[in-house]
Amino acid sequence: MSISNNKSSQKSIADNNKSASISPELNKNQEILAQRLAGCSDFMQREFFFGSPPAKALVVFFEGLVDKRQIENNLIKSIFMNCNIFSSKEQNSETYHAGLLNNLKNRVLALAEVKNIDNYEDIIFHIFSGDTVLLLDKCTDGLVIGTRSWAARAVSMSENETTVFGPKESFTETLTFNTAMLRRRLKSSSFKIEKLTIGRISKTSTCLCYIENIAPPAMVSDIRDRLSQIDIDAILDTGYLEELITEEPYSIFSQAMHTERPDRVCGNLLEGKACIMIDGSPMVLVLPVTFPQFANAPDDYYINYIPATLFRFLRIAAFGASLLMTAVFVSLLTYHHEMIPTPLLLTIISARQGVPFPAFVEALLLEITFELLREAGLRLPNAIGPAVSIVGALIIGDAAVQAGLVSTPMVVVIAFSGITSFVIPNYNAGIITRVMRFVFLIAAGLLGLLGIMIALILLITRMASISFFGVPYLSPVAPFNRQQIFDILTRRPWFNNTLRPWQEGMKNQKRYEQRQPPSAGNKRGTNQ
Amino acid sequence: MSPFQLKCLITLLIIPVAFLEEGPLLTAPLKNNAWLAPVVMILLGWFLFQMYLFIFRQNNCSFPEALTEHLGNIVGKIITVFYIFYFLLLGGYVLRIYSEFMKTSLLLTTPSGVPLFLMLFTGFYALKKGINNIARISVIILALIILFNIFLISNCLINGFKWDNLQPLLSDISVKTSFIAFFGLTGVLGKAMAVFILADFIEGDKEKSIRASLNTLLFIFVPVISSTLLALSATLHPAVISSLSSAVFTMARTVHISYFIQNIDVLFISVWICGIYVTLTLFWFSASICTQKAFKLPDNRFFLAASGVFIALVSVFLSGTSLGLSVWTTKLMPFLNNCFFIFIPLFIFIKVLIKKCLSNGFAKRCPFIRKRNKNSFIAKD
Repeated sequence: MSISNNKSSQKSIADNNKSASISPELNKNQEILAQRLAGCSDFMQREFFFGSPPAKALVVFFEGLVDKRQIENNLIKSIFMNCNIFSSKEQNSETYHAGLLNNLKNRVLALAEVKNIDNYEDIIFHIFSGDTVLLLDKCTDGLVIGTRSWAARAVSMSENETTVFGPKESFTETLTFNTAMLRRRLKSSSFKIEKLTIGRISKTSTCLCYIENIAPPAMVSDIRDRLSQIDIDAILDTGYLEELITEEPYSIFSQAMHTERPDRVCGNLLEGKACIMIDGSPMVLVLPVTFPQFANAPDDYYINYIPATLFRFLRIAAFGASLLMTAVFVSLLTYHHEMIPTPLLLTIISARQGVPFPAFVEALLLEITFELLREAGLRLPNAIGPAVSIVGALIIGDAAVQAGLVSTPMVVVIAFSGITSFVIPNYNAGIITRVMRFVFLIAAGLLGLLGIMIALILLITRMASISFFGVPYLSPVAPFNRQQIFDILTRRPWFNNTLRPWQEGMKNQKRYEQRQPPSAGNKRGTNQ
Repeated sequence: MSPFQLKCLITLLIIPVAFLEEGPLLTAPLKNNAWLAPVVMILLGWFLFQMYLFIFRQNNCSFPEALTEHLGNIVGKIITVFYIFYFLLLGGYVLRIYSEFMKTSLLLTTPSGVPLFLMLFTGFYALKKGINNIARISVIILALIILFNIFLISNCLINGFKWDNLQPLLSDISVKTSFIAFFGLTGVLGKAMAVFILADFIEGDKEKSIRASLNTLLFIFVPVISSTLLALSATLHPAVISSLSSAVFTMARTVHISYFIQNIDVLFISVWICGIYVTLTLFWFSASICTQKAFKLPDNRFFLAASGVFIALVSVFLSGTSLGLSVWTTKLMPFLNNCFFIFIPLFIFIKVLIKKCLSNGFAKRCPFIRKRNKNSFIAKD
């Protein structure tokens, strides 16, 4: 009985102290922190005395989140080394204790980040974030000292968005590294990084980045509002945020671009977009994006504009082939075989002799197998993954053809359509294509080309109905924008790329004042 | 909706169906000279559109409201109800044409109810998503249709052109046959009157957008239909065209690329399905909007499901055979189109013109009107 009473009283104390001010009694502070952080074995406290008369101090932090050497050398050691500063003849003077904290902050601590705090909520938030808090007896303020340091992955090459030309580095799980990578590229005061915390339990540090005089202010404030309205227990990846702020949550179509490349983020920021990054995820969310933008690869902008344009056409064709090739092949074989040229039809018929399944079932089985192999290749460790893919592709595929379960033309079509799906430079767009391919396949199996057309109409209607922060998902194709369509289909040469893609409310559309033709003076021979 | 999207919408309202029905409609009376009729239609079409613009300019209000404005509350409402039914009938007719070429060219063994239901479902879904979505998509579909049309016509003219089929030029043209041909053409172009319904959704200067849309329509309609008729007459014999249910797709069957890729009429049909989808959706939408405005309803979406069933029933009961459909295409639809899109607007136009002349003091200068109305309301005015 007494224990439960004790527990309930403790609980009420803890509730009362949630955002209460720091007590002048250090013992009480220590007791409250111990209560709040009971069961946290990594919570560390170090109590010590310094100065004359001796002042009691308490350092609290979480093991593993801080750099202990900094605490030892730049915090505790500095205080002990400078004890002579802290001496007073009047032993209980209030001014002595009040001055201690300021003296520590301004004259002793050899650390860059030091600031005052005055309540328990801040103490707990900061020590969870990897800071160290210093509390003194008879002081109602404490000091937060930036000592964050944890085991972090080093900046490495991008694994999911590889390029031949251009920068190679990618984001890491540490937010400060990521913001620094952007800041290094955009050395302007108009590049803003707004920080906010999301998640009741995770209290994830989140950054909203944009370029002030380019990004539409209404869009930025809309994103900020939506982020601040999120009420969730934890955010572990930017994927959570996409679903929480999107206008069409019940949709397969991704309305934001996930990227791990800082150069790609900067390119988008310069086009008036905003990005969201969170602590603990190397993926950055760029928004708003339109579907045609998924055809742009990062190294389009690093190579000559003519091949870049041709590659872009190739990618668009590959997207169409990936989406429709299997479906069209099935519909031709099932419903419209008169369209296939006679010699080709004879070859296909002879190859399909003995195959027990209709073309639709054959294609469906092969597509499912292909997806299984792809998924297995992704989930398996790097050493085994490629081996499984090769075994699946070569051995199982060959065995299936030899056994007469599938025909070679169908294997070729499925493989080709699979390869084309890898040409799409964005993983999210790839997922959309993979799912929609099955929809088109079923439609083709049921009604041939009519089925495909109806599915296509429904798909385009659905996509056209989506808009994110006022930007239609299919723009600049639908609604049609003559100026921007060229930017999607082609890669403009930099000397002629004077305008940024237009966005409602954009302040500054001009990249530079006038077209910059390659200087005639720089041409070979004219200088001489 | 932007003015550019309106241009695309209004073009798609007319072109896909005109592409299919103009063959039998014009080759029957004009035979090998059918392709010349759309060229002459430039002038007639321009006058027609000027008439529409004149009516619109008088009060600047959209379609069903203009009827009550000019014809009075009761008569205007009654005529509006007729228009609502007529738009639904047009939707049913479009669906019937679609199911006809599905049955004869694409899905020979599939029951026609299946593609019919699918098209209705697609249209319903699009209307649920809103007219702005249809307007956005229309740009892509129009581009696709124009590209395929250019390919079809150029391929037919290059590969299957028979000069003899066009001979003798300008023969067998009488006043009667010309009247029948132009009667049919004005009916087809008159459907553009639906632009006044869509005008409510335009951003910016409505009159300017409407004028630009109608001019664009004329600019696209004349070359597309004229070249199609020329290719039809040159490839197939004019005598054959009027007996075919989908002459254009029969012509598309002759298209080939180096004799390797052949029989690609299915491809053209697939593209035309998109055009038919927009046309059907727009007629359906016009009926819904007219109903909403005529009866001052807060929303028109509840009407969609019921009107969808009506459209389906109309398309089923319109005619059971290809011959029956041909009668509708060549006889009944031109008559009904002209009644609703030429005669009624013409009546309003004359009424407005007289009213305007009278208000401008023309009556006082005109001896006939002065004598007749000496003691009538004009004197009171």
